[in-house]
Amino acid sequence: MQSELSVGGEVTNPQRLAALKRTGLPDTPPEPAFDRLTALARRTLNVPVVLLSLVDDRRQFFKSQSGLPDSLASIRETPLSHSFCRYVVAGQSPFSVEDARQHPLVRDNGAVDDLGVIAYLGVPLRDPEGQILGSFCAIDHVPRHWTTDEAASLTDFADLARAELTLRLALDEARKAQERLCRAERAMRQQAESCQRQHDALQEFVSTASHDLREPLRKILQFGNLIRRQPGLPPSAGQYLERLLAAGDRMHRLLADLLTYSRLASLAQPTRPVYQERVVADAVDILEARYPGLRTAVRVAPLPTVEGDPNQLHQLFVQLLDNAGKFRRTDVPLLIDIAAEPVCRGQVHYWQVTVRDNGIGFEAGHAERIFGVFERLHAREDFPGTGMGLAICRRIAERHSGTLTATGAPNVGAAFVLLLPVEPSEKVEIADDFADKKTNARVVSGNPEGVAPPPNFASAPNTIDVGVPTPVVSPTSSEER
Amino acid sequence: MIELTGNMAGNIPFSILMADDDPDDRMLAEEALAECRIRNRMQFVEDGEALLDYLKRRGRYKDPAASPRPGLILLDWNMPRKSGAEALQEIKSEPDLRSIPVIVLTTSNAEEDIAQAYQLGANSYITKPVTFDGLVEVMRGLKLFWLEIVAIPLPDQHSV
Repeated sequence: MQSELSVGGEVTNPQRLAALKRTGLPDTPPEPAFDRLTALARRTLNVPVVLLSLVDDRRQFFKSQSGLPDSLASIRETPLSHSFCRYVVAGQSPFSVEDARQHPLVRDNGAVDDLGVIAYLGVPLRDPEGQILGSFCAIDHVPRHWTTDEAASLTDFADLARAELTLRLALDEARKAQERLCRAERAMRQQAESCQRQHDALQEFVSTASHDLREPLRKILQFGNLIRRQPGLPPSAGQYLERLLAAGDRMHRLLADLLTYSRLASLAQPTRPVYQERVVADAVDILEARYPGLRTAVRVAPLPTVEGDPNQLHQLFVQLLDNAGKFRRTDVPLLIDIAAEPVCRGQVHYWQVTVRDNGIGFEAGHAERIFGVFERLHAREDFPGTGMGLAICRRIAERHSGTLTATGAPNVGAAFVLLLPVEPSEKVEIADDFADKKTNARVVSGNPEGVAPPPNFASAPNTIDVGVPTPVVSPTSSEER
Repeated sequence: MIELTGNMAGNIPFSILMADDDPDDRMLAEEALAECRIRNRMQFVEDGEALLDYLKRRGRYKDPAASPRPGLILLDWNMPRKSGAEALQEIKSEPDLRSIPVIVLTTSNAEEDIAQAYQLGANSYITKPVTFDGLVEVMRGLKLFWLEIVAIPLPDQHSV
């Protein structure tokens, strides 16, 4: 008996053993795909037994066999002491025996007496990477001279087995990849859902908070108004009261803008084709009262029709034009150019709409900051406003799957660049309870379909925003960035 | 029996019933009504349930003299126990009550509330103004429209 150590290092090579394990074949039941090969090889070579033998460091396992006696066919393995195939593995090349009883290497092999292996021809069975797994072999019970043709046929069968194995491993790999992908996708979806839930909760909170805070504030303002009507109020008390009312009024506008902003959570569905030139013209009309001459200051190049929420887009242009009007230079006539061109960003086609003015502009370093919530670059007494306008604009752009950015230079002007996708977003967002267009305080009578000015009209001149008091005394602590 | 008010509605002073859970708002409304010299009798209830009790003369509203049928209802939208929407729905489904004009007067300016109010048959919807002057303006508008311009059905004060 020979010890397995004497057959050489390849049989026990850990990388080879690992590759064998990776095939997933050891100790699996017989399968037609391999059994057809061994049966066909047996008929082709006209031999009593053909084996597809996988050799590990202590045994050979027959993944497929044709012609073995039933006793051995059911066990499907032998120890290495009964293996000729190990020499195919050890030599990493075909191993041919005409008469085992005369062969120095195998004449004492257990298989000769116990299994009647007299003639043996085995060729290497390899995995896709070329790692040797075992042997595809033919066995005869009588001495036999193996021809070159027979060796070539057997090699072809071994290659067919390898091809089958390659396909299986590839398929297996693809399945695993798909599973990984599914898992990753599931995880991502869960994360997105969790994000959405948190976002919704926060939104709900902001919405409720700004709504509920307005309620007591309204009382403060109204009772303040009532106090103002009282005769005989000491002058100092009157002055304090005006400051109090002015601060309250400011808070009211801040809350209104915050509410508007939080309600812009979703794009109102369904979207409609929005004729931007019309939207811009409407915005100009609305602001003409506040900035006389605006109509002639605005030059509008042809603008495309886009898919979107008309109220939100209207609001966006009102805000941008209001911004241009508010931050105009006093020494030059105001000019606003609005133009559009198609652009492509990362394979998505956009309309790029640019609103360019010749106003006071801003430092390049502030280009992002101006889109922040409650962000202001100037003292409130110089330029009124809550600092929410551009934040609202950007949110509207994002709700339309677009972007809004700005460039500017001090005392030269500012340019706001709106990118809106040419194709409407396929992402369908469910409009939440507050998502629809909102309006500020107004009287609606008899006609529910009636005038529905867009949300940020709180400050627009034509709004029926009943009686927000004009501060008589400017608040003193109004310094902001 | 139904009488019609004309442009001289002031001659037949029907009462105005306001349903609002907020005592401040009830007080402010009363002040504002007085400010624009509306002389109609003002009645107040605290929520939708009390409103229906009043209109149907239930419980403490049994006495027609103390709880006259209103010519106009001012209805808050967000109230405990029975909301403005629920109350409105009930009023408009009662043949006896649905002819009373209902004016929603609320803090909400939510589009869906406005839509729902008209859907349920509100006769107008007003968002409460922020300032007292604004509130006076609203009341003046109400007076002009509902008490002077339009004609509204007036029930026999003694009918149930």
